[in-house]
Amino acid sequence: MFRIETQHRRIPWRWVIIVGLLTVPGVLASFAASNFTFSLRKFLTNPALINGILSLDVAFNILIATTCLYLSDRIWTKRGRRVPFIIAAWLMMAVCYAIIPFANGPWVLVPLVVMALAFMDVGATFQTLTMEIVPPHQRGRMSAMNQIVLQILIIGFIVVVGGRFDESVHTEAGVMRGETFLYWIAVAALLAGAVLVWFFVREREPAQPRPAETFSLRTLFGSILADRRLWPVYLLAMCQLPFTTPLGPIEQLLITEQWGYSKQDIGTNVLVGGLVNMAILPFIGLIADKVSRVKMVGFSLLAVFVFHIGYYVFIQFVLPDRRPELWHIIAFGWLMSMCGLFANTAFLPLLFDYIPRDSMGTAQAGLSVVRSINRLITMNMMGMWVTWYSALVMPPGRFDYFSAFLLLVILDVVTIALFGWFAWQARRGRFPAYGRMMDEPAKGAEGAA
Amino acid sequence: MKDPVKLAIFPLLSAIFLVAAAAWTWEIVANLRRDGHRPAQIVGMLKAGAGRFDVVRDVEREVVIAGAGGVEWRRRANAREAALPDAEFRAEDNVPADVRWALLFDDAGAVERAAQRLARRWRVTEPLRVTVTETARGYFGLAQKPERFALENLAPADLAETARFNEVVTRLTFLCAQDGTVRDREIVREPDGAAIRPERADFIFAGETWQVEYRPIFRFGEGEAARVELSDIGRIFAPSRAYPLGGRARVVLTPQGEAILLPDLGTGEAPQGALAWFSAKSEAIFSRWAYPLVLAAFGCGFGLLGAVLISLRLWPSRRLE
Repeated sequence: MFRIETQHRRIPWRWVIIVGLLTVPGVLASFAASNFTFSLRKFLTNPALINGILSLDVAFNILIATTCLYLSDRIWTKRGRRVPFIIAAWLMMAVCYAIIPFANGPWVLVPLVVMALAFMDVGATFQTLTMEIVPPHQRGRMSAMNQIVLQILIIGFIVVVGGRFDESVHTEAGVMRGETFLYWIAVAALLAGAVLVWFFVREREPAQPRPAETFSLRTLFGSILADRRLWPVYLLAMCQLPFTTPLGPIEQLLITEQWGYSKQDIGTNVLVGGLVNMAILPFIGLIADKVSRVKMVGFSLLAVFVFHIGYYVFIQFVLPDRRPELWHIIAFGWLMSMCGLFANTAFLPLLFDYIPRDSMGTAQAGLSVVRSINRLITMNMMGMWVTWYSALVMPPGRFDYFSAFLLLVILDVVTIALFGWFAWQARRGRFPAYGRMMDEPAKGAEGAA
Repeated sequence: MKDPVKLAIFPLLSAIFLVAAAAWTWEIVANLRRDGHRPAQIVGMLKAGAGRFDVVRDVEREVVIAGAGGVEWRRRANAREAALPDAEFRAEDNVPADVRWALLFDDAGAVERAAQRLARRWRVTEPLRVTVTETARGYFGLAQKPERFALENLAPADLAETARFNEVVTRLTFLCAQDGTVRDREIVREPDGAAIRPERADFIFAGETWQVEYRPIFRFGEGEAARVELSDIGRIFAPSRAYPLGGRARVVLTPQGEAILLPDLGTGEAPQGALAWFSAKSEAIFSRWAYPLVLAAFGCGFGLLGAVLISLRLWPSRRLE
């Protein structure tokens, strides 16, 4: 059989290769989407507006992705339940991406970007489809294989294609602009992906489909907030902020516009940082198993706070021209990424320590909503902060994107305070670790046996 | 759709992408192998955008740095010399090489930062006055895109009636105290007496919007065989670092007589670290080769996919449960 199907207990490894290749359109689409900042910057100058538009991605995560995921569990069509969403999303994204480089004003570009972001979330069912194809015992190896291939793919594309954004090639047939090329790569991948899914992926109807239920955001938020045992989990998730949302699109504008580096330099930055990370990653796992999770998170939060202050002071008061060298940017990025890796290694198990077993699904949905709201608010705050601060200290029409670090430092302080309060309450027993409690009797029973 | 037709989709796509990649590079690679490539020089820059075309033939800058004790440092440089080794230019220690480069060849932002670095390095007690005067010479404000250029002076041969040789002078002045703060900034532009557009405030090769593109004009060949051509590669916002005005390059000639510009990877560049060097080389290589490289990568990906799908049809797996 050359069609790959869902709901098998064991699948050929060649199917896993196909599933791996199926993830490429999504990666290239995300890579192209990371250039929306530069496309928007052609027509818009206000960082608050640019950040605001791009943060809609996060709003759509809550509104569209959640809805589509919910519905895809409860419908059945001739083409399955996940595939229709994926096909619609990828085709519409391809249409938007194909037109975006030709937009000649913000009134055309902004709706296209918003549509692309919205359809990206319609395609959120893709992840579920891959998990339905690949059975649990084969997922670990698939994930490891995908991670290596995707890392190489991302680094390769940023170095080779990222720097071409501003370039163009004039041929007898016409002009190929780098921006067009970059988006069309994603278009080609999305269209090929849609063909692959349509002709070669078949969803098998589940034996017991979920009953149809009415869905509303009110019901969703109600069920997420109703369980008070999950409130500490959401509080903890908010403490992930310094590791998940640094500067957003402002970072690209800071490096290119304020510090005068090229988009090719961004590629070099990602390449060197990525290679160093790949080499160091295994050692983080070794350390993570030997240190208390609360201490690891606390230490990482403090380290991020110190690094943010250090970087700000170094650039603003030590460097004479307030412009770091490329290796400064890479070194700082690497330190931050190490803190992020260190903290995130502890964060996930720590979160699950406080989630009751019977509320895993609700907790997952709640975590997704909390993280998205967190990111949405922070990204918009960053944009507004830079606009406001620049209006105070810069000549008209110029922006001090680096001032976003000041806001980051303030957010770090808030996060450390929140985490400190969480740790204190947990120590006093106010936040019972439900996840661990349910493990302990089982271990005891084993011991008794 | 029948199964064989479906199975043929990805091998077919693979073939199309690989052929496109080969077609893109074939002429360059074949001619590189046949008679090699020949040296060329970037002798001009076409600046095109918003219905206006400028042919910049020459850019000259004079930098004057004045402190409390009068003129401290004065240097004049021509863009054509930028890519050539200049012992005297590099020998002066009181102005570091990277600062000199920025002052003489970079955009207003880099000049501003370089002036700040200098004020800090010299520990000035009185504000340092850094004045950079740039004189760009060429043919400005053309209403049509020039296609052919005169060999000696780059005069647009097809627009000879309207093109007049002219100068555009831009002057930037910075006052820098030791704390590095730019206290004052004055920008003057004198293209035939016309005032500078307020939103520009930069030198001739910087500060424009995304609608303005820079395309190198290169000269190659000796004597009667010498030719001047417009490059097929362009860049918005600023000229490509791979092809600076005055820089060296290489050219490959196709049998049809088409001249294809290639970067000279050994060309002189700004004083820089290893990472900046890597970026500059990546830009030089991939500005020409990224397109066929990506097409080839897609071709290989589709080929792999097609092969796996066909293998599943020909040799079904027994692992499936």
